[in-house]
Amino acid sequence: MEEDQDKILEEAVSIVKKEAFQMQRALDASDMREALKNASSMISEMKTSSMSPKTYYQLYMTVFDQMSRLENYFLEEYRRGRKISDLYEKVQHASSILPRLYLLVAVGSVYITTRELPAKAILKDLIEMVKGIQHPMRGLFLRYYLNKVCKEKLPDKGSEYDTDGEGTNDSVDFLLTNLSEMNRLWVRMQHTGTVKDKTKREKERNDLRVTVGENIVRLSSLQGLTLELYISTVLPKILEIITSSKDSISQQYLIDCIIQAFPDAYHLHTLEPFLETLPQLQPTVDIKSILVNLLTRLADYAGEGDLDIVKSIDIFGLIKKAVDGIITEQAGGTETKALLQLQVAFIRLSLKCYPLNTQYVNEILNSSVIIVDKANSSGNLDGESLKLIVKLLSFPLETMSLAILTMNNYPKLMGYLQFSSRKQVAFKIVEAVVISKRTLDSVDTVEQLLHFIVPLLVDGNDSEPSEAYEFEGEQQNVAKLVHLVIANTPEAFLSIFHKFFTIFSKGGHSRIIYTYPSLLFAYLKFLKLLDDQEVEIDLMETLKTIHDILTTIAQISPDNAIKLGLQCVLCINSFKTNSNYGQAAAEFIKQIISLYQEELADTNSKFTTVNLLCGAASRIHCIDSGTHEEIINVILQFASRQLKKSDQCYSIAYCTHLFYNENFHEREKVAGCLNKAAGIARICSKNPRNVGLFVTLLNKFIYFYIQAPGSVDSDLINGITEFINGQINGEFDQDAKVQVSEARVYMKNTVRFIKSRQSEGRLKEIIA
Amino acid sequence: MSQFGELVLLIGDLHIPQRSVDLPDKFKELLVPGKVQHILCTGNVGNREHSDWLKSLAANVHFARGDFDEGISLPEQKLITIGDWKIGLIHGHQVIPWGDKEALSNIQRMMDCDLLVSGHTHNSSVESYDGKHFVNPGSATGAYSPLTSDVKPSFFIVALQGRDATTFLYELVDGNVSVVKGTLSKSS
Repeated sequence: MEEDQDKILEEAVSIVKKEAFQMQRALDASDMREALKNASSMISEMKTSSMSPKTYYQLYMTVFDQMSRLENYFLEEYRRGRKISDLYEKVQHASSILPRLYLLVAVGSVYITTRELPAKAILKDLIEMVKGIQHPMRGLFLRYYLNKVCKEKLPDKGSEYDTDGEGTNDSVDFLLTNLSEMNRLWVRMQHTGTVKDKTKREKERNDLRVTVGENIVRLSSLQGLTLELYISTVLPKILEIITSSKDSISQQYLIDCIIQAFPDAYHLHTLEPFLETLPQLQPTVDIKSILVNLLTRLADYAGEGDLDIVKSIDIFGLIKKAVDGIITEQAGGTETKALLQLQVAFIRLSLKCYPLNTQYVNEILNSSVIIVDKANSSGNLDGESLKLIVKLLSFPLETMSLAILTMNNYPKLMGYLQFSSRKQVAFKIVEAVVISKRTLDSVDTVEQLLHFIVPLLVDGNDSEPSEAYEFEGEQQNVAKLVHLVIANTPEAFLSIFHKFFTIFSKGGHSRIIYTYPSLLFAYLKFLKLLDDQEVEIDLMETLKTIHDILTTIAQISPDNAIKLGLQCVLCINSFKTNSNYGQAAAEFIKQIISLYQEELADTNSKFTTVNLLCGAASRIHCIDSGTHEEIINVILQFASRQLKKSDQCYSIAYCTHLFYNENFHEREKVAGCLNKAAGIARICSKNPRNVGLFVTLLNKFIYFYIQAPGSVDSDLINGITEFINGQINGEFDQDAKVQVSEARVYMKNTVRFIKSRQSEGRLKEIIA
Repeated sequence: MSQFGELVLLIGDLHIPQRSVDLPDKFKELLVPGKVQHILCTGNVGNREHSDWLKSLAANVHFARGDFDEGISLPEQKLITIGDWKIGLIHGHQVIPWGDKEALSNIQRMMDCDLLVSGHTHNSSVESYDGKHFVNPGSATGAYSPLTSDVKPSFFIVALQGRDATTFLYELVDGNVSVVKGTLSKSS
């Protein structure tokens, strides 16, 4: 078949070219009569019935090119003085109707340019004459030719052919008539031929659709087409043409043309008549995809422009009526996915036009629940549909975040999802809330929120484990939620925190490691807030909860519990209003101490912890002196029992600050510590790498010599200096080189420091 | 860019999500890739995502270990040389008393740096002492610290040109970004 078409085309085209050549020769010789004869023969090739639309189109294009030459010649003839009306009459003598009409249209288009007659009159005649071809394919191409050559010659507003100001209306008439006739021809193709050729015929019809659609494209490009004209004349007439044809291929295509060709603003204004047409279409027309197309375009349009129209037309109501009609008819059947796609397009539009209207969204979710429920009962809920449900639940989050908590259909719809999708939606909810930085100010809101995101918070019946990276990201986002809490009263704060605490505690160790620390700091910030605002209330309950949090964390990570515990102690220590919680602070420190003794095994861990203990404990003033002394001595013991000698030395040096700081001034204990440290350093000094230890100690000695006069003897300092100088000069092994050179630099800077103080008249007894 | 010299961002103590939700939006608008050549982070970022974010902002990014940084091995202290300047980076929880001028001065002597960058207190400051300079970028998120009342989100950008440096302290005050300029010189 294919080869046949190629052969047929080749033959026809060769004749066309031959006749065209002859025609051109005749024109060159100014032999109009001969030229017209050749033209006729050329056009006659288009009388064929053996070509498919695709092939015929190629033939048409070849002839079309030649016709352009002829048109130019006609125009030149006119300029040379030939009467155009004569020519118009002459071409009608062609023997065969098809060439006759093509030539007539060609002359007619030139006739319009001469302006001898109004364009309206000529067009009227032409549109009448072309009725002569009733064969569908040939008729469509002839009328397509008519559209093409008259393209710039329609008496549109502002064009030179609009003589009486009514030009646009005339053009509209012309195009609508052509559309109506072409549609008729096109539909007729459906019913010619045998039944078994139906597929072939429909394909051929499909290939020809652009010729019919051209009329709508022309209509939409008319300069003079106003919204009023569209509403009053153009749309109603096109819709009438569409519905009266009762042909689903035509209806599907032409409705789509309307949506594509005319401005989205026009569609918003004509929603009602448009939507009312849809139920009148043939049952085989896919109305859902038409609506999805329209709603998607309108949503994109609404996203950019201003929306005054939204106030004057009930867009939501109109669409809801149309959509609900479809749902009532089709829910529970095989169209679940398409119905949900429609809902997705609808919800997008609603969110764009009415960004804050939660009721509308809830209504769309309500009808979605109906679709999903029926699909579920009849076993038609597949993976694709579930993905669409996730979309429906995700879109509102962008503009509404927490407002979704007021929508009763939201959790209902979520309930149909499998665990991983529920978790996905829950994660999007958390993300939306965190990004919007919405304050969580009421217990009810928080309770609702936690209910919605429960798949993230606890393991359920159908849980699946997440990949580690993903899980960490999820839990960290959940942890952020507690920092959004800002309530009006302390009681409200505590109730909200308690909600979080309750649900977090059910999350298991894998979640607690992320969620508890954040909750703890939320509590600490809250306590500080109370203190700043001079609110005196009983904090024991809260401190007990914090204690429990730490105990749980200690089971998972003693290190972490110690660090967090120190933060709690320092927080209590900072209170000015609620200043009698020293006992509680002491409890926390005791908890920390026992964790150190029982749980820490790692040498490095112990070293860094002693350092932290010294840093924190040196600031504490809120504990009674007896307990305070006990604690300091324990820390000193920890320092002395470090595994590595050098660690012992450093740690004991840190301990000096426990005895001498803003709150305590025990000079003798300072000296004791420093001497002890020096003793250990001497033992270490056998290893040349440890010379830096001495320089560190020297600086500590000088620090206290200045800060706490009387605590350190200058002889001691000079002794150390001498010792260091003896150690750091001279040759050393390769492996100690780095440490020694670092120590030298440190020493040099220390000496410079001493000398600069001496130039101010201090440190007189020190030898640098 | 060359007219300003080398630009260095000093930032740290984000504590996300343990103590904060995020940096202020106005800070995020300012901190985009390509603005600075170097980043010195005092530590305690709090999560992988934000560490990665910092690494995406410049070619040279350095971290020090904060007391709450775990599971990753970071240096206790680091010396970075940029042009004529030797810059020391340390979180600061190791330096006792916390935030003490003399104690930090001691660290400066040990590291032999012209400028020492430390954090931990969440209290932003720039000070010169004994001809050396000390900068604390504070907390970029305004995170809670029991050591400082009323923490304001802050960070520093330092422009190094030869032996001179200009410091810009960015702070979020009442919802707006305030910038305070200062100048430092490397002593001979």
